Amino acid sequence: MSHTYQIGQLIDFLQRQRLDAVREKRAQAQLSDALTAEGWSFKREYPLGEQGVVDFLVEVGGCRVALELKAKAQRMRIYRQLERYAEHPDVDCLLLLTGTAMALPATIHGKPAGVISLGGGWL
Amino acid sequence: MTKTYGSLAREGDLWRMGDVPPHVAIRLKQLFPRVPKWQTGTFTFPADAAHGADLSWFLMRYPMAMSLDDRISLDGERQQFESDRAAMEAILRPDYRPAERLGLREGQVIRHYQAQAIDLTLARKALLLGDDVGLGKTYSAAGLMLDKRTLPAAVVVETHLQRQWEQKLTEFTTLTVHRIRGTKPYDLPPADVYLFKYSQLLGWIDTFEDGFFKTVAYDEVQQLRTGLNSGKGQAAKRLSDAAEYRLGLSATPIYNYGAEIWNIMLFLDDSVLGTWNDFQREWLADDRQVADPEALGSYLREQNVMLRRTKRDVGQQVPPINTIVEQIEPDSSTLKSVEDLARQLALKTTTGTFMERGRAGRELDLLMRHATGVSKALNVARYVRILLEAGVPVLLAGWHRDVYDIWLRELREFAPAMYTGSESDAQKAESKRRFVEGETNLLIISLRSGAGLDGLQYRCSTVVFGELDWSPKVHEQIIGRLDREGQLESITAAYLNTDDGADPPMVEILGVKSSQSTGIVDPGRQLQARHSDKSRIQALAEQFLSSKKRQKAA
Repeated sequence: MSHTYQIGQLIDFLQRQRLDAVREKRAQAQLSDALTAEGWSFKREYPLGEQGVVDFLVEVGGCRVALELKAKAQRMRIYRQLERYAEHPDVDCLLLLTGTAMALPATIHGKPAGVISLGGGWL
Repeated sequence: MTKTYGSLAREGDLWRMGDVPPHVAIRLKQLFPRVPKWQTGTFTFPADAAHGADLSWFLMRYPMAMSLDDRISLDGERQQFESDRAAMEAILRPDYRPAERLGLREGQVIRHYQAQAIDLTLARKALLLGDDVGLGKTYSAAGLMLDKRTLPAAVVVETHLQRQWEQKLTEFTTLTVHRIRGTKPYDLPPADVYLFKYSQLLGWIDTFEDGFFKTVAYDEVQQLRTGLNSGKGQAAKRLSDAAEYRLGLSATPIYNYGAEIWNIMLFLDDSVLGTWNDFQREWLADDRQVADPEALGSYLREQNVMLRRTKRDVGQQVPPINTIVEQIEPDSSTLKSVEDLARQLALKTTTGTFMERGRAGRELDLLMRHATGVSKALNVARYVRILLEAGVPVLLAGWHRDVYDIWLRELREFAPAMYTGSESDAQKAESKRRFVEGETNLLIISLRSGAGLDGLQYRCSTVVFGELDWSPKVHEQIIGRLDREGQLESITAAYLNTDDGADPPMVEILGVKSSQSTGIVDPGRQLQARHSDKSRIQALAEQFLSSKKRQKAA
């Protein structure tokens, strides 16, 4: 199976989750449970050295997806944060799951990036 | 002799605690958070079963001087509390045997879970019944009123449901029913049940205090979610205060943010969540979001003041609703044209006077929502066309007149029926008839016109949202038109959103609201991911494309 297909599946999975849209810690715990239940291979609170700690690092067919969950994001600040993650060699692509309506460029430092709506899961 | 820490005495309908030493007062305030922190020495509590139970527990640790009579009275309250509690727990057990009820029409039955709701209301005297849409909340209310203690009863309903209630009550029971006419009080004819519209309450406000109505039942109680800020709310409060039994019915009691539950409980049991200040301090994270919705939901259940069963809880089979979210391309020129105006308004929101800023902000929201609806209307119509050409009956929900106009123009050949704010009751009835009898496959419905509408489920299982509402419960109500008893197919709900304009922020607000109300209404429920299966829509789209190809070839 190709990476893109599997990452597409991960995005589809994330789009369908109903996570606490107010309490971020709770949403993270819920997402962790859901990822485990569906058999995704991932690490929580993955350290990226000086670049910080990403909420989830999901392994998808050899591709490592840095997944950040932010109930409420300050758009510029979260973008800078993702930029830092993108600099780290362990990260191949970036996903932001957030309850703030926002967009990201298609790539950050040449690595594919995408936003998934936290509210969308509740529709 | 036991050491005492002050005194406790009954004064009318209060307990007065006096001469409380400081260290005991500190403990007291920790345990009874509603005791004002600034109060010292003397404290009062309402003399009811719940406070009686708490006070006797406190007195086990800190005995107080009491007269023998008061001691007996307090112990009586505690025992009452315990036996009430035990009785209510017994009602909710699956092996509970409810009493037989007289007054049902031949062949009608009260289901076991409905009888539990009835008996709990009689025991608790206040209940928010949140059973799933389609579990027969109307019948639970009707069954309650077969108990003579509850009569005469007032039932408050939404305007378009007054006749439906009358019909259901008289088909199900032998109760006599009177429909209230107008907003000017007149001498009421004898009847068991009086049906008010919410819009009539204010006119009748001065008649409510005499306690004539022993019971009040509020259908779709979320109508009272703004509390005492509305005339109908003030009238309802008087009606509630004078009644002995209070029942609120709604599968969707919380329309927006969690704090609405305080307003709802104001009409059912105003002691359960305390004053607004208490509630805000203890339960809220800000002025409208509940900090821990699950804890609040569990508390209301533990107080037996809220009861909710899902279809699954009562053993009904329900296939999950297939929810599809599609990104639709907006027509960017429509959005652009608002942009200029928006820019001016945005300027006002940052530089204008206070009043100007508020108004400009609201105008911007409204304009954005309107423009978003219009900008995607064409593509929404195209999406719906795919379904219609395959012969699939569709319920299409929207909000703006301009959006309907585009849909009507684009889908003219399907002779759409309209059920929106622009049609009279007679026109709506005709639209419903045309759709239900199969004269058209397309019913365009306004997001907020559908509550209680029954009968579409025999004809249709697909709903398309061409515009979003601010409240997730409005979408739920629309889906509830199809997802109800009599529906034989699994429901598909398609949200057609853009990633521009008002849709993205609205989707996030909907998420926050849903996540709050789910916590309160269904605490502890394992959250299910959304069920989403696009295969049927894809198959229809392919069918559509190949038929177009054939047409071209021919």
